[in-house]
Amino acid sequence: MDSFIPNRSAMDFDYAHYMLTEGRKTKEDQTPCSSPAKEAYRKLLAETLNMNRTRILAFKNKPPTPVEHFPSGNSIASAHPAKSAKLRRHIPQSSERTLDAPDLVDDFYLNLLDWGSGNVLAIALANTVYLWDASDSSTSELVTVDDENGPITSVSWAPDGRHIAIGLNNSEVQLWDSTSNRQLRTMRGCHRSRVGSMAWNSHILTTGGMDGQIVNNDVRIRSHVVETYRGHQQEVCGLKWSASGQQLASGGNDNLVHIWDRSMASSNSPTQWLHRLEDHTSAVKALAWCSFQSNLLATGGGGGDRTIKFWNTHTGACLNSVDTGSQVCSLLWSKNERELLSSHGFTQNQLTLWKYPSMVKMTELTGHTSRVLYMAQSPDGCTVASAAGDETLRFWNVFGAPEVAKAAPKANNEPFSQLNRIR
Amino acid sequence: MPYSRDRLMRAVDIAQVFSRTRSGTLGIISDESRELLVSPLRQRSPMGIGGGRRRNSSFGTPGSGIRQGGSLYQSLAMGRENTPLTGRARGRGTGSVLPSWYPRAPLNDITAVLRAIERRRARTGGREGIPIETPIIVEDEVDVNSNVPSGVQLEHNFSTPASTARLKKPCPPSVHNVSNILLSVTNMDAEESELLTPQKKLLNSIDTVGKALMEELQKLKRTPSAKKAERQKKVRTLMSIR
Repeated sequence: MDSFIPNRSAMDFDYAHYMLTEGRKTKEDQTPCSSPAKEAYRKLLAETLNMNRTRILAFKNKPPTPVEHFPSGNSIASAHPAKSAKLRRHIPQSSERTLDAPDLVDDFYLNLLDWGSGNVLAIALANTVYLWDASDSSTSELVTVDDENGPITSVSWAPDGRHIAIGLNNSEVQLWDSTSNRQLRTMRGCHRSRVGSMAWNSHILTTGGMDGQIVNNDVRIRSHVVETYRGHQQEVCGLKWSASGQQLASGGNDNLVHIWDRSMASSNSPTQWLHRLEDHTSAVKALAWCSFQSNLLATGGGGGDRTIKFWNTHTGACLNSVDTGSQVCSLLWSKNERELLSSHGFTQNQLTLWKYPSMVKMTELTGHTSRVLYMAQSPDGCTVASAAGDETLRFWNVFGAPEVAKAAPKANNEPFSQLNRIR
Repeated sequence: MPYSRDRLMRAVDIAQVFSRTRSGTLGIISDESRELLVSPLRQRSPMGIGGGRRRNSSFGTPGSGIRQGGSLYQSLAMGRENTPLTGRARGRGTGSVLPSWYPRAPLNDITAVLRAIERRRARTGGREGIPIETPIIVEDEVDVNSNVPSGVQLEHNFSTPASTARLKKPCPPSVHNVSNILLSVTNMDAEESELLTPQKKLLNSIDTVGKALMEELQKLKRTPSAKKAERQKKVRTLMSIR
């Protein structure tokens, strides 16, 4: 009920009295020779003690004070305002930026896009690898291979963000130093046909080939093949190491997903898989290890399967399966939130953002006119780059703008808690 | 070949090579150092350096070797996941959103261009629904005059009936014949639209316009005033070398 009758119980009488009598006096007392430090201190003090109110009269009831029985860091009271801020996060529905990608090969089995920890994006267009520096939007060409060796079938940045591995159609793997634009070595003989997928685990470069072989290459030594994983019958199109580097997930055109564990390595014979996951009914290229739960793996099936499945990689159990309605080409977990981004093909060629674990669709991003085969995430975890057969490379601020990514300051109940001394 | 082979024998600083043996924190052993250190008597010029180039010139020369290689591979993209069942049409560049005349350059920022195309498509797509017009009219709105090759300016002048009023240069009456030709081409194509893709239609119309243009130019050349001007020019040249 609107009325101009003040509510006495909601008023702060002490403050009201002070403002009517003392407040004006303090202002007159201020001398021009008070130092900036004193001024700042005075202001901060006033702010913290809630002295900057201009109103004395109150018309609504005082908000009930939150009762904390067990004070803890993540109390409901402090989490509540943060949650509403999360719900209100605005995700732009169109790409922030689009770059031309002429001659990008439209082949499901290749992995032509990778964003390195040095904030440089690498993309392979036919026989050439281009580097795009995200900090200044500059483009440079790293290498162009000969027609008979190319096209390039995979690119993968090393964890140091400086060295980059390039897989070729002729089964070779080249290693380059992007800072000096120098080719360091060519690794031959690990595969019999094209190398379509690669993944780094510190000094080990794992390569997956059209021959179904997965090879661990130690880039520091001359005889680089140190381990082979045999299990896939057809092309290995997805390859990802877990964050700990203990487990490797691989997906193939044979509809299988294998989990390989380093503890099962043997020196004289090919390593046996830890788990063989056979639930998918199409090729599995999309693989992503969860960023906030260490043994959780998400996999996506191709055109005949169209599902995203979640696995416990310790036990091999399937935790959930969601039908997305279209070919799943790529998966990315958010580093900031409990969200999963998937990219799709026919008919909408969209990027879908899911809330985890509810798997509620948060948003769908359209723009590509051909299936979104390649996706990569920026090192700060806020931006996603996607490339498709429509020969465009698009950037989406789907995981939040850089400011949002910074940790929100925790709610403080004590005044001056952020200062370590007064004066 | 990206670069020519250097056959000169050059002295190689072994110490420098050794310090370059291991690259970075990853400790990758480089091929070059392995070969040089293994056989110290054989001294060759270092290989693999300068593989990278900074290319800032525009890229899209049609028919270059690299492009052909890419498209050749493209036509061979096999596998269940690559079949047309997934909705991908065959042929190079069918999925490309940029008009065929737009100069392509790797990682060129085309955000503004695409937005303009989308806006134009949203506006004219419902009204006329003729795909041929789109690339010609887009030129009007998009501010890329500096990048567009001179050949396109020609297309812009021979406008369709819809944008006749917006002609920038005054054109002779003979040019209107060309717009009539375009109209007839449009009408003709509307009947057999199921057989021809928008790109084919565009190519056909470009051919027709090109032919008409050549005819017009020939006609202009044959007028008495043009012949007189040409004769005067010849006389002047001969007099100067006398």
